[in-house]
Amino acid sequence: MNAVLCVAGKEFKTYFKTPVAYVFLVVFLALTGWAFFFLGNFFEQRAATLRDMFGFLPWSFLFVVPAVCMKMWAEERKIGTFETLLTMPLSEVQIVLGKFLAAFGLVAVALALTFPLPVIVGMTAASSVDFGPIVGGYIGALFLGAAYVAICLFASAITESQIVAFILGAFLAFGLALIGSQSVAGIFPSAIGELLQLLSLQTHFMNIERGVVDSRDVLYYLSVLTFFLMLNVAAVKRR
Amino acid sequence: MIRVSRLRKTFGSTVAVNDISFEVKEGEVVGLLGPNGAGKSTTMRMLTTFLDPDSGGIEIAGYDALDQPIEARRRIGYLPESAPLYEELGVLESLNYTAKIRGLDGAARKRRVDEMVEACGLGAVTHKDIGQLSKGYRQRVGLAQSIVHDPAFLILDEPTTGLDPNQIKEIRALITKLGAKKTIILSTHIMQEVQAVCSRALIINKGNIVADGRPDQLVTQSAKTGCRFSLTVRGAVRERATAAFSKTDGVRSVVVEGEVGDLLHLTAVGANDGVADELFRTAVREQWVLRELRLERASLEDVFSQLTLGNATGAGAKAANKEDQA
Ligand SMILES: Nc1ncnc2c1ncn2[C@@H]1O[C@H](COP(=O)(O)OP(=O)(O)OP(=O)(O)O)[C@@H](O)[C@H]1O
Ligand SMILES: [Mg+2]
Repeated sequence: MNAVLCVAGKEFKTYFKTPVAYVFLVVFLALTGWAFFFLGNFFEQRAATLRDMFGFLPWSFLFVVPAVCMKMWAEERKIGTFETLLTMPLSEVQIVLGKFLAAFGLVAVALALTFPLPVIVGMTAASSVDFGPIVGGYIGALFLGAAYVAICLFASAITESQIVAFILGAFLAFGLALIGSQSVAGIFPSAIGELLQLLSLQTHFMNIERGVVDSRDVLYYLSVLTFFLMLNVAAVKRR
Repeated sequence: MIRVSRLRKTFGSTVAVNDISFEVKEGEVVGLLGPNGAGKSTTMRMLTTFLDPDSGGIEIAGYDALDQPIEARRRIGYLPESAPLYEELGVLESLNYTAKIRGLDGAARKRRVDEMVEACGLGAVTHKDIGQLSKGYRQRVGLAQSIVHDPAFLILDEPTTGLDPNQIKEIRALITKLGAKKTIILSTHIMQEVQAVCSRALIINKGNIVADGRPDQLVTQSAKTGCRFSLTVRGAVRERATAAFSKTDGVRSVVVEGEVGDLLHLTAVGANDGVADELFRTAVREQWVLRELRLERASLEDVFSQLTLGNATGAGAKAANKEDQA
């Protein structure tokens, strides 16, 4: 555990030594703010929920999470520190978890920085505010973010090009989000459509965003997370 | 003790390491020599558990490196080719990170990092980021990181490549200092390096060991194949000189290397160093002025090219070497 935190700490600190973290935070907050104020038509509706903001997360994460993860393994391979890192007395699982925690930590910080929005809702809503769905939404957002991070980290582990890692990560996450949308799942026979929805990052997030933290959704996210982290470990073990 | 038996590693159809076995005893400083692509780095990557061999075994301090890689890693310090480092980290930060991952903490870590700064001469750059360092200092930081946990075994892949002559001297001095307490395997293309710092040389060619022994031992063995003399005479006609020197006692072959004005430059190979006397007498008899007569010591370079430029000679020398050790 100590070693995991050690790797995580170094990676997290490194984010703030380059513009990566700042660019990520600014872009993410801009996208989220836009979704809240304009997608949700805030100024006219004065809605008592953050649903539009949460609903947009699967899409805004698509741009920013790959950027946060692309460097993690690709850069190590490129400059050769991959070799020193993997000859430290750590298991591959420990290193993968450390890197995961660092990237997930940054995503969590970004989500935490959206706190003014629920405050604004609380102060301006036209009707009384039910904070349950808002809390549920944040929990769901963390799960969603964790799944995206695991996917994009895996993408970074199989190339030494950060650009390729970005594109691949975004593509994988986009695919997993898109298959659940009506426009894709709807064109298939209903059985397959339902299966696709079952596998989609986005549909599970819709449930949570409604404020219902269902154990099936949690299980789903944990499965995606574990699956991609295991792929990541396998990719690193292959060298 | 490092024990390597029948190591083999292929990448697709490329055989990087064919069949390598050797042992390294405590306190030895072993130089891995070989041309580009000989398999030095691949061998080291297997020793450090970075790569798994296709077949064969590796034992590090009694641990099977394939079954218990973590135990092996704890005892090894490794500096890969070109000393990869995290550019964004500061020098101290980088050392501390490695120390922490290696399980050092608190006061022990601080003491050890200070010791490394001192031992590797990093005092002047502790406030800098690694991205700002010169190649020589990067190499030192790399070296400092590889020994921060005080490993018994040190594996250095081309530790002096890309450095200027002064830095090369410094790094070699550092390695020699470390060699007093540690078992070291280093790879290099530079023969003087082996003669300067290694107690033993392993010459690798095409994934096989072609020679193994003390550097001076290898040189003496190759000297058995003859002594080379460099000769410059004045007043001799080319053909006459070749003929006369060829007929000289003990001379095996004569080659004209060049002609400048009335100076003729030749190389003669003789049975032993006593042939110099005969060459001198021949020149006197023919009334040529002997401007230069020099015995060219066979160097490790000669051994190296002999062993690595053809497979047949390589195998022969290995066999000869085995006899010698027996
Ligand atoms: N990851 C790899 N994938 C494919 N081939 C490889 C890989 N690593 C090494 N090789 C091949 O294996 C052979 C041995 O390479 P290695 O790097 O061990 O040589 P070396 O002795 O270290 O050479 P150099 O002196 O140039 O560093 C070479 O032919 C090389 O191309
Ligand atoms: Mg090499």
